[in-house]
Amino acid sequence: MTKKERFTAALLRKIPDRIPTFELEFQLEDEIFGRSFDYSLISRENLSSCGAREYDKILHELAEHNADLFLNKLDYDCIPLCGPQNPDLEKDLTEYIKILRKLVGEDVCMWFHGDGTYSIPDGNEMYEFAYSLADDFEGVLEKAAQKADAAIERNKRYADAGVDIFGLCSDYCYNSGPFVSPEMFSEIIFPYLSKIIEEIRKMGCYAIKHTDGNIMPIIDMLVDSNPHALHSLDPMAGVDIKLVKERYGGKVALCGNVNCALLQTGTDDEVRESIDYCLTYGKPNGGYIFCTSNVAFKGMPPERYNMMLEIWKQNRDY
Amino acid sequence: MGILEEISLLLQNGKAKQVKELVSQALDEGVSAEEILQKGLLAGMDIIGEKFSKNEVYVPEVLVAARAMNWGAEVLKPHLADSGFKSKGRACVGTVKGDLHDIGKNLVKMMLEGKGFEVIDLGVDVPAEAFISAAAEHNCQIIACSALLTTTMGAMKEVVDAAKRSGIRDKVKILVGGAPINKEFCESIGADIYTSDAASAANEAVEALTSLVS
Repeated sequence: MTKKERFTAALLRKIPDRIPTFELEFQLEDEIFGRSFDYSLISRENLSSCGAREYDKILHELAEHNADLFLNKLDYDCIPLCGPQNPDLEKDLTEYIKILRKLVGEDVCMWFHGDGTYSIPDGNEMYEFAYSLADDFEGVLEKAAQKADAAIERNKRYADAGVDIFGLCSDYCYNSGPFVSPEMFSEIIFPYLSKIIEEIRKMGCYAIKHTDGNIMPIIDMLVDSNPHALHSLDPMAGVDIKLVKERYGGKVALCGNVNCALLQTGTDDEVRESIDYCLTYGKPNGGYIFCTSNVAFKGMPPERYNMMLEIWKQNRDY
Repeated sequence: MGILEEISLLLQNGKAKQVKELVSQALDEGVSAEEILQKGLLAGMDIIGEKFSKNEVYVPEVLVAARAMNWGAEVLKPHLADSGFKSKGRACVGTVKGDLHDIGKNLVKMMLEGKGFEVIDLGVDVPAEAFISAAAEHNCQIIACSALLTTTMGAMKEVVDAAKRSGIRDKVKILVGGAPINKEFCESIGADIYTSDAASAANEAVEALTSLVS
């Protein structure tokens, strides 16, 4: 199977030749490979200072760098399109995606952000958001619709450039549960999430819904919004892949659940146990993509991530 | 329904303007400021805290209820000062050094205030020494440290160690919380209290006052 066939088979809940793997982000390049790409080179300021031709060269270098990193060094089945998430850089990113697609061909998936729903607000925004819910609910709904429409249009542009997997990464949950009540979620998020996913499917692309935290109080709605897969399945928040697979494995593929906290601070045995659990209950009958319960974040001991990949290699074949 | 019960109920529903009006009305009717605070505002926040613990209400409802409490408390402030009212205790709260997340910290702050604590909010990215100097300066009985990241949770041990070095360790209870924290971690760094949610943190802080007094 090609990487794309393998990855999409898992997303379609079929049994591929082996369990695919990827990460939403890989932040351990310096630690594991001794070098990383300087993403600050992708900026409007740099374009102004170095000129169009040199800037185009930088975009090509980034594409070559990431193709080598994700396909050769890490053997991922889907390339995460790392890079600045600044909306002002959409033109630059689109260009980079086109270059990368041309470079890697059509036999591999490329993943990029595609969400446009409310997520847990930061800092003072949380107060403003909470007060808006109480004082101006219609305004909250109006903004939700605008955000979703903007995401749908943006996703079309990225799909044209070569993205085929959209990660919907608005976080909805703390360890204790969702940041709004399930009733509120059904009004201010669910319809818009469903609409974004519907449009992604219409383009022939795939949708992976990511959120940290305890998703169980809203998991029915997450599944009903019709993504191809749910990502993270956060064990630190008590999400159990065995239970989720039993209840929802017939409707949605699953990604993740390898415990990030244990990768960071647990013993080798605890890490092994977490990985074994994911493979034991995620692997059967396909529909599982192996990855951490968040991202391969800076600060995670690199030997732990390598250990995780080694165990995957030993157990990945169907 | 009595006026204090009505204040409590309106607060739970986040009706800040009506809470403010009713607090003024209660004062006009001769109800003492302390009684309005305890049986109206704090009683309402107590119920919200309990419901939050049981996932019956969520963060936005807590924030809106806290706004209503603050609006009501503003009306009471001068009256409480006149009556010589004292807070239940003092706590300094902050998100540890290197960590900029503040929702958990803010929730703990609100819940502590809802229990009658005077709270010194140190903000985010707070060095260990800042927790200690604030606790010493304000005579706090509680130091509450929050962290969202596995990469910053280690800074909580620095707070415990700094409290030991400064000689205030036996005068304060150190409370830790946040997504990556658990009871084992709390014990391993020598902190006193871990809870998984903000409302429980406030309850434990009240309990801790008793042990400090005794």
